[in-house]
Amino acid sequence: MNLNVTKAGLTATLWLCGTVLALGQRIDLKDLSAFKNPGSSWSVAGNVFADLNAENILKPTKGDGILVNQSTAKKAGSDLYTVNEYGDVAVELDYLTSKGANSGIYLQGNYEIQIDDAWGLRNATSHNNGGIYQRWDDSKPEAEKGYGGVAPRQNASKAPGLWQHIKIVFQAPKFDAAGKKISNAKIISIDLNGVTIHENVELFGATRGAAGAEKASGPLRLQGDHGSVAFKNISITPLTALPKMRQGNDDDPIYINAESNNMLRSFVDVAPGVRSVHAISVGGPEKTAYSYDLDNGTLLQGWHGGFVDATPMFHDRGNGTSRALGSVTHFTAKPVLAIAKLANAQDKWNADTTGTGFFTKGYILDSQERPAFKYYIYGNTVTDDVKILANGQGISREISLEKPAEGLYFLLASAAAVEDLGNGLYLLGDKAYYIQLADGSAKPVIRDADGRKQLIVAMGSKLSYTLLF
Amino acid sequence: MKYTFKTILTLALSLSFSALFAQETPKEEDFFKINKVRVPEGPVLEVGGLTTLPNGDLALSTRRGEVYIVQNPTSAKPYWRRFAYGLHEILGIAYKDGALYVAQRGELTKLVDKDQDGKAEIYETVYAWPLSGHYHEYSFGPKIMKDGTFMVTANVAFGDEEWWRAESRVPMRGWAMNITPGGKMTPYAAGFRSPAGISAIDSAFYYTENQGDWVGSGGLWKINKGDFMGHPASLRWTSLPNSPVKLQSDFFYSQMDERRIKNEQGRYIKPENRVNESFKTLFEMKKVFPELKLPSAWLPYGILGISSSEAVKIPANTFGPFAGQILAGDQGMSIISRIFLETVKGQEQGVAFLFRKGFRSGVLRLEWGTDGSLFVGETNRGWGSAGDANEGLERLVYNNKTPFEMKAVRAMPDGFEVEFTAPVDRKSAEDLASYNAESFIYKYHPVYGSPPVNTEKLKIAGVKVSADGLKARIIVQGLRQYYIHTLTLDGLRSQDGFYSLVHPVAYYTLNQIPDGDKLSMSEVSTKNSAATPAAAPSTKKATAPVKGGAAAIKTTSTKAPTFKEVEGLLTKNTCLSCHNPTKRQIGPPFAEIAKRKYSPEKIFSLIHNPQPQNWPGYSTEMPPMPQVTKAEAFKIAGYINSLR
Repeated sequence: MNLNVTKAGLTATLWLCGTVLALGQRIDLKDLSAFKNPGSSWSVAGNVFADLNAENILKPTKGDGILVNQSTAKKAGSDLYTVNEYGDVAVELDYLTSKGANSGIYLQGNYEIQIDDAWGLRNATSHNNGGIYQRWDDSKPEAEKGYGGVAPRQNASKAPGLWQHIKIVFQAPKFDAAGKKISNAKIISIDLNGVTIHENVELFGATRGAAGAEKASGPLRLQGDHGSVAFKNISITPLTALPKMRQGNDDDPIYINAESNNMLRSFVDVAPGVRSVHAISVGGPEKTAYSYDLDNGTLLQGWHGGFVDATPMFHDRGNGTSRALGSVTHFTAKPVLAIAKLANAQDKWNADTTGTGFFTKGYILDSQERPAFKYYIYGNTVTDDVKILANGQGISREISLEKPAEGLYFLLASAAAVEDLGNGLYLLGDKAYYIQLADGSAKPVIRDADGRKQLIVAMGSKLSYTLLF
Repeated sequence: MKYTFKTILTLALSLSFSALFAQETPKEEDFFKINKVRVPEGPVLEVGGLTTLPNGDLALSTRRGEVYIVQNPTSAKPYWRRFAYGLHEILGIAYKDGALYVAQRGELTKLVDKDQDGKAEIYETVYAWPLSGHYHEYSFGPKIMKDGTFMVTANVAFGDEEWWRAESRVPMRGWAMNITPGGKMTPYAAGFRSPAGISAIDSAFYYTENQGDWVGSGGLWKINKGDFMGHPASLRWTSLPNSPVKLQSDFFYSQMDERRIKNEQGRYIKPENRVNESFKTLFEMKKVFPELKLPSAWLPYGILGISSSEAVKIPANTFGPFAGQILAGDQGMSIISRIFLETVKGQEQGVAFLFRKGFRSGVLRLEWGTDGSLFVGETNRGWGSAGDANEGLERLVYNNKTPFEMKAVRAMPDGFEVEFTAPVDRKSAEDLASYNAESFIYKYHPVYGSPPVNTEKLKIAGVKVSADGLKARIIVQGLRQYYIHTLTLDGLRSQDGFYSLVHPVAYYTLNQIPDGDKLSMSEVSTKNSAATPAAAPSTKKATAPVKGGAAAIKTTSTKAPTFKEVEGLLTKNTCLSCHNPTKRQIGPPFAEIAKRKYSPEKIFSLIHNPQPQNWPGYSTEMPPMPQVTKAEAFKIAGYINSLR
C-alpha cells in the first residue's frame, strides 16, 4: 500500500489546470509492492534503452524509478494489476515501447487504451497507440466479432525508446443497488504527448480481453504479454468530482492543413517568453512537420499530427503566432545560432550573431515545394536543406557550405542530457528525440554549457543527419 | 393650436422641397460605380497589397500570406493563380524587373518564378529587420522609388501596462526604411505610428497616418529623408550612427509632456483629453523641432476617415476632371477621399473632399487597372469598418459623365478660389449665403486623437464668380495659417440642372497664405440672401429644411427626437462615421448603447470622455468629442434612449 491518495480532490483540480501532479500521488517505483502478484517479466530499473533497429529489445540498467516489462515470443510476460481499485480516476504516466511492441492500459482492468509502436503511421486506428481498443463478440461471424473501437483523432506517437506522456480522465460505470448498470463508463479525455486524442467517448461495454464483468471499481492493469515496454511517473488519482467538458470561446478555429507540402511564416513561441520572430513552419502529407528559425538557422521543433493552428494569427487582429497541431518535440529552449567559429571544441558558443556577418537569404523550393534555407555566415553561403522523412519518422538535414572553411562547428543539439548510443546515434534530453549522424561523419563532441549539454561537430563542407522523434 | 401649427409648417416644408428637388441631384454612384471582381471560392482575400503588372495582370497579396496573380482582372472572367504562399501577413506588393517584392512582418522578400511554372520557388530575403514579436508590428510596402530602391514603413508596438502608448521596442519600428535591391538598409525618416498607406507619387514619397496617440487626426504627409513625422516612440533610435533624424528623445520629452502618470496604486493612468487646458499644436512645435513635418492635407477624423490608408495619383487618362489629383482610402469608414495639392511659398498644402463611400469592407489598397478603373483592396479584420464585409476586392469604374463638384480649392491672399467641374448657377454662386467657412486645428499631445480645437466661424465678405462660371473666389476673413479651413457650399447650384454639389464640403489645410493681390470690394458680390429676409426665401429654406423644421417641432413637443431629426446633428459631429442605429460598425449601435440606460448627463460626459473599457468587444477607441455641446448631447441622448 504505497499509494497516497489523500489529496485526491486537490490533485484533480491541479491536473485540470494542466499542472503536474503533486508528488506523493505517484506510484513509488522503488519496488513492485503497489502491484498484485507481479509476474516475473516485470521489474524496476534505473534506466532503459530500446534499440531502434531491433524488435522488442529493452535494455534496463540497475536502479529504480522505472517499471520495465520484458516479454518475448518465447517467454511471454503477464499483465500487471494495481493493488488498489478505482472508480472515477485520472491516470497520468510516461511510457516507452521497444520497436514493434504492443501493450495497453486497462482502466478498471476492463477498458483498454492501446499502446503500440505506431511511429510514423499516417493514419492510426483503434488498434494503434492511443486508440480505445475494440470490443469483441464471439457469437458473431468471424469478420464481425470485433467492433466499437475508437481511433485517436490523430497519430501523436513518438519513436520507440522515447518517453511518451499520456493523461487519461475516466468515468466509471455506475450501478444501482440491484447491481444493474445505470450508466456506461466514459473516457472524459485522453491527451497523448500534449495532443487531445479523445474527448467524451462513451464506452458501451468492456473492450476485448477484459479482466471480468463491468463493475463500479477495479484495478489499473498494464498489459504485459505482447512485447517489451516501460513505464514511469505513474500517477493514479481518484476523482471526487468529474471535470467539466473543456470550454473555449466561440471563435471558429483556423487550421492550416498540409495534405500537400505546405509552409507558413509566423511568430513561433519556443518557450514561455521566448518568441522566434522570423520563423517558418513546414509540413507535408507525411503528417510530420517542423518549425525553423530564420534568424539563426535553427530547428525549433518537430511534431507528428496536423499542421498548424493559425487562429492566434488570423483571428481578429491576431498576435502573429501560429501553433503546432500535433505532438511537439522541442529541439531547443531558445533560438541559438547554428554555426559558430571556435578556436577549439571547448570554446564558448556565440551568444548572438554579432561578429558573424550572419544574414538570412530566405529559401528556395524544390520541385515538391519543400524549402531549403540559405544564409550567409563568416563569409560563407550555407544551404540548410531540411526534409521530412518519407516515412514520417522525423526529419533529415543536410547542411552544406559553399566553400570549405576552418574552425566552423555546428550545434547539433542543446539539451539537459545527451547519451551516446554508438554508431553516430545520440539520445537527447529525457529520451525526447534521437540524432543519427550519417555514415562517415566526424565524431561530435558532448560538452557542458550553461548547465546543459551541447552536442557539436566540426563542419567540413557538408553535414548530414536525421532527427528522429 | 399645436396641431395646426405643425401641419402648416410641414406643408410649407414639403412644398419648398418639391419645388426645389423636382429633379434629384445625382449622387456619387451616378458617376463612379463600385463593381465586384470575380473571385473563385477558396481564398480569403484580406487584401494587403495590390500592384498592376506590365501586362495588365493584377498581383495581389493578402494578410493570410498568399500572393495571387489575376489575369484579365477587369474582364468578366478573370483567371486566378496562386503565385506564392505561406508568408507572414503581407501588407504590400510591388513589381520590379520580373520579380515581385512583398513586405512581410519581418522582412522584404523577393519572389521569383525562375523555372517559369507560374509559381515562385525563390523566396529570397532582401532585408530582414528586427521585431520584438508584438502583434502591432506590421510592416508596409515596398514602394519603388525613382532610383530603384525600396521604401518600407514599420508600425510601432504598444506598451504592456500602458497598452495605449505606442513604443518602438527594437530599431526601425516607427521608421521608414530605404532598402537597396542588394539588401542595404538606410534609415530614412522617423516619427511614424501606423503608416499603413505609403505611396510613391511623382517620384516623391508620401504616406497617410492613422489617428492615435500624438496623432490628432489622419492626413497625407510628404516624406523627405530625415523628416520626423511626429510620433516620438521612434526617436529612441535617432542616436544610431546612420540616423538621418537628429532629434533626440530626451529633448523631445523636455519640450512635450508625455503624461506618464501613475495613480495611488502605482498603476499608469491613460492620458485623456483635458477640456480646458493650454495645449500645443504640431505647427507650434515645428518651431522647436525643425525636423517635424506638417501634413500636406489633413483628412479630418471621423469625416474623411478614421484610419487612412493608401493614396494614389489619378492618371491623366481617367476619372475626368480629377486627373492628376490624389485619392486616399480609409479602412474604418470604407471610403475614398480626394485631395488636390498645390505649393504655396515652397510648402505643399491642399484640400480634401469626400469622393466615394459605400465599399463593402475597409479600404486599404488602391491600384489603377490598365483600363483606367481603380482596384480597391479591402479588409477590416481586427478593426471593423462601415462596410461590414470582412474582406473584398472591388473596382471603381468611371462612366465619363461629369459630376458637379468642387474640382479644386486654391489658397488666395484673402481667402480661397474654388474651381468647379461645371459652370455654376450665377445667382446662387454670387450669394454669400451659399458659403460657410470655419477653421480649426488639432492638439499635439499623448492622448489618443484630438478633438477639433480653436474652432472659429469665419465671415465671407465677398465673392467673385468668373465669367465662365467655373470659378468662385471668396474673401474669407480671419484666415489662420496652418489651420484646417472648412468651406461648406450647401447653397451653391450648377448652371445646368440646378444641381447641388455632390460633395459640398472642402477641408483646406492652410500651411501657407500666399502673397499677392487681394480682391477689391468693388469687384465682388456682397449679396447675402440670409441677411435680407425678403430675398430668395425658397433657396434659404432649402439649404437647411430639416434642421429648421426639427427645431421648430422640438419646441412644441416633448417627444424624443427621431433618427431623421438628429441625423444632421450626428453627421455634423461625425457620430455616424462609427455608429449606426442598429448595426455594429466601428463602434456599438445606438440601440446597444440604449441598453446601458445611461442618463443624458452620463451620455454627455461619455461623449466628452469616452470609456473604451466599457466596450471590450470593440477594438477602435472612440476619441473624445468635447466639441459636442450639452444641448446637442442631450438631444442625441434623447434619441438614443428612445431605442430601448
